[in-house]
Amino acid sequence: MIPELGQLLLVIAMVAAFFQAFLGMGLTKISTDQRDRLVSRIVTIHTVGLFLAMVCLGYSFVSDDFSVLYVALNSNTNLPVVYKIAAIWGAHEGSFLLWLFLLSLWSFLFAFSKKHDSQYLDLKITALGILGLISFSFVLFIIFTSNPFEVLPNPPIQGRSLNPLLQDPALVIHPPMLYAGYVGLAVPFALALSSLMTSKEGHSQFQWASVARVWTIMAWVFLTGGIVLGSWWAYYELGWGGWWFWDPVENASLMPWLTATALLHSLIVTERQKLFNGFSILLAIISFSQSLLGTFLVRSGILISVHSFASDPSRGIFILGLLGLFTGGALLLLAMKHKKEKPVKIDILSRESFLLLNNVFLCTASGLILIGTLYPLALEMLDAGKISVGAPYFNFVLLIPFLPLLFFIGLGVFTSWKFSNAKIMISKLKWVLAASILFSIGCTVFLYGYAGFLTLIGITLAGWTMISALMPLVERTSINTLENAMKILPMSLAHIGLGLTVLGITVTSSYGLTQDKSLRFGQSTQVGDYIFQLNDIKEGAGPNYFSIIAEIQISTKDNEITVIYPEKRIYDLNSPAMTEAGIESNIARDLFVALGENVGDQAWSFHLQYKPLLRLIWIGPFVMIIGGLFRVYLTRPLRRRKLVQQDD
Amino acid sequence: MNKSICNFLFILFISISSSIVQSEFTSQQEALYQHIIHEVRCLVCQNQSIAESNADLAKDLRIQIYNQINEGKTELEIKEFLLNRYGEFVLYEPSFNNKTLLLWFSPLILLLLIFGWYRKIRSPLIDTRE
Amino acid sequence: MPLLIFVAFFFLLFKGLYQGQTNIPSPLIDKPMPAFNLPTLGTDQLITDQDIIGQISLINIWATWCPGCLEEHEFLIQLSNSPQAIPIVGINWKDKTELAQLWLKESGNPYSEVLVDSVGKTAIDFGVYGAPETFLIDEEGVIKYKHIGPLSTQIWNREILPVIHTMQQ
Repeated sequence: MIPELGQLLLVIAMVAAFFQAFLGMGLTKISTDQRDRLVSRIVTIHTVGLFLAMVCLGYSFVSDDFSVLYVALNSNTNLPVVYKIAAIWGAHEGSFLLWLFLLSLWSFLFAFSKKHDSQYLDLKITALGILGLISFSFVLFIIFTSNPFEVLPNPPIQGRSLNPLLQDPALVIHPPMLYAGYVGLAVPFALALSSLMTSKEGHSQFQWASVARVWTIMAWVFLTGGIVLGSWWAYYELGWGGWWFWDPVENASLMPWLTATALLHSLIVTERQKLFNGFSILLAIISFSQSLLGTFLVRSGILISVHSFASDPSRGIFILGLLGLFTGGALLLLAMKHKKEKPVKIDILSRESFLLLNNVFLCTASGLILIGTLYPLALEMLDAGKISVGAPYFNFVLLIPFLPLLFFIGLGVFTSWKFSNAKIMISKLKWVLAASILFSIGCTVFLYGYAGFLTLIGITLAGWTMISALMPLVERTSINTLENAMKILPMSLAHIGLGLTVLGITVTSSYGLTQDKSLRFGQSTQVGDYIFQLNDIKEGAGPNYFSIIAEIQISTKDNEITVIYPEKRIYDLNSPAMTEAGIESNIARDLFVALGENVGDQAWSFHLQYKPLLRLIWIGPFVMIIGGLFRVYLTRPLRRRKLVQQDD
Repeated sequence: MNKSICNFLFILFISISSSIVQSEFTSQQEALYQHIIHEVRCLVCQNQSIAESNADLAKDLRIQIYNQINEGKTELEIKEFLLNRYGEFVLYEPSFNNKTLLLWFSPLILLLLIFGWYRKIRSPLIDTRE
Repeated sequence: MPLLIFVAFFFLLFKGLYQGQTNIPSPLIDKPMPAFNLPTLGTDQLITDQDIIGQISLINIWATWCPGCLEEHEFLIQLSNSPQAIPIVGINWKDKTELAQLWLKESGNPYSEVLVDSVGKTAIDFGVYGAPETFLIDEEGVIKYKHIGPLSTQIWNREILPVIHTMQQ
């Protein structure tokens, strides 16, 4: 009964989306106000419908209804309840339902956001129409190729269960957050297209940028959070202490993140200075397209990845078709409808110029990841052999845009709109440069030692980014009012977060140590300044697994630090054993131990790591997120007018 | 009775499904070993290096590399050993040859292209005069 | 302009969908087979690569834990009994001797020799990553063709026989 209800709800959602698209895009002759009211109600129906559909699926999971194929494949009676619910998005069909639901949620929030004037109304409703079109096509996709409510005529007694790798708290938040980011980018996409469709010459064509800024930042915040959660999860769950693998699916999330970062900076210029409108629209199209591309890459089986869902070319064709429709259609619209802006000369030292320049680097980076990810596929198709493009390539190649990017970010902070005073800029930058160099020399000489020129550059640039972000904040707090300082707090936080991330990556990569060693009881080994000793090995069990637990004592020359318990868990004899690493961490360093195997002679093998400043890699983006959230907070209606009036 | 069978199977299973090779390396050898195994692809996995994989073939390759490092072989020699047997696919760093020219030059090409666009947007007047 | 780039891109992905997963091409084609020195199954007798040179033959990497190997076994028996038969040297890869002997006794032995690679070094030298894998060797001991996966009559006729005919000309 419930699965049938779920299917019905999907159909209802599909119909609602159809009308959302139809009415929203102005294909009828009713008044704008009427359209507005109608569309808002339709969006509500659509969103609620999808929400209830998810509830149905969740109910099927929790009640162990194995007549539903999806539940039978991804759950069983021994699964803890939390994971039964999270299993909704544990595989393709259900996770796509989540994707759709989040899209509808964004549309819902967008539909009920405050309106300003009638010009905006037309923009908004048309955008909702486009969102409806996207929703409609994807509900079609789910109903026809990926129905989570498919029913088995002879339900099995027990389900297969959720992949043990996924039985982890991170499964509960990582996909929802990541998908929220991916689909959130549909809002600026829809707004950009809506602008092309509805605005006329002059002022109105820039309006979309003011509206889109907040939504872009929100989507960006979720995307950042989703990526960071994925990285953190991989670190403690996969057992080798890695936090980024340049796997195609990971790349698929990083690409839109870079483009979205470029977008939110370009929108600043479009809103304020009425420039780069075409570029902003293009970025909005590209970032959502990269989200769709990511969806395609993961679910079509075209690339080999640990993350990919079960592959099915028919699904791939459908998504590719949608990708072609939306991206191709959007680019076509852009080519046809884009109004040429008045040619304005932009001074090379202006803030506009620097924002544009840095977007060049961001887009280059995004493009490089795309090329690297798809190159093996292209070669294979040309029958030119089979190659692998992995971490060594990406780590090297991305330095080329990233190093200049960090440098120019620091410079850009001190520019002014339209025209910068070079002398003042240099006088401030002198201090930033000096402080950065001192910082890196300090780190190298007093803390970690010299590890090559590149490491030195990395640390210097990290310091450069952070100090250049901090300086205006400090200046404004002391000279101007607190309110002026608050206006640039988002930027400062975001850039400081970036600097922390770069610092974490540089230090951990350059100074981290790894050892694979076998130990007998009582034996110890040294990694860097730390001594790891094996004390004992015990057996244990959990609700649906057996485990072997090692007791490892960590100490330095002078004192004992802690005892950690790396584990190996067997969930069932069909899956490989899961490693639960023992991790001792603080902000300065992580000490990581993974249990290997019994190598005979009463010895066990271990994978040991010392990773300095590893936590910064996740704390940095967290600070960036705070910056983004603060920026959203600042755009509350009361404050908005004040901000726009005051000049920098 | 049942529990001890479970335990036995469990230990047996753990012994088969490992991921780590013991080592008696110096710290330089260890660093070289870690470096190489992260750059060699596990051919029976879904995109993992042999450092990260539990597969039998991955283990065998790790043992090979361990032995070769002990014999004093260099990174280049070890990689060539693998290339001669498995072809380019086995290394995560694409080699530099005619087929990968575009790949390795793409950062420069992209930068130049997008930078040209930057110039065009920034100084449209200059361009219209050309 | 971006539209054009996208269209090209779109076609790449479209074609890529129908590509499917291809096998890893072997760098050993047209190279002499790797040197080896392995014991035969159940005895102490050692056989080297030099012992195989002199006629066109197959080297078949197999194991009892590999389902594909068990699948192609019947075809190998057929081949060894047919007029087209060429010597098949089997290399038992990381297997248990008793299991291998039992299997050959119960299901027949198509091999002229069965060698044992218990460590896996020879398999690595042959670039083996997934059994069964079969190599076609010419009279001088040069590898002329490699097939990954179970053999069957169709594959034999379609892929391997043509190469043998070219070699014989």
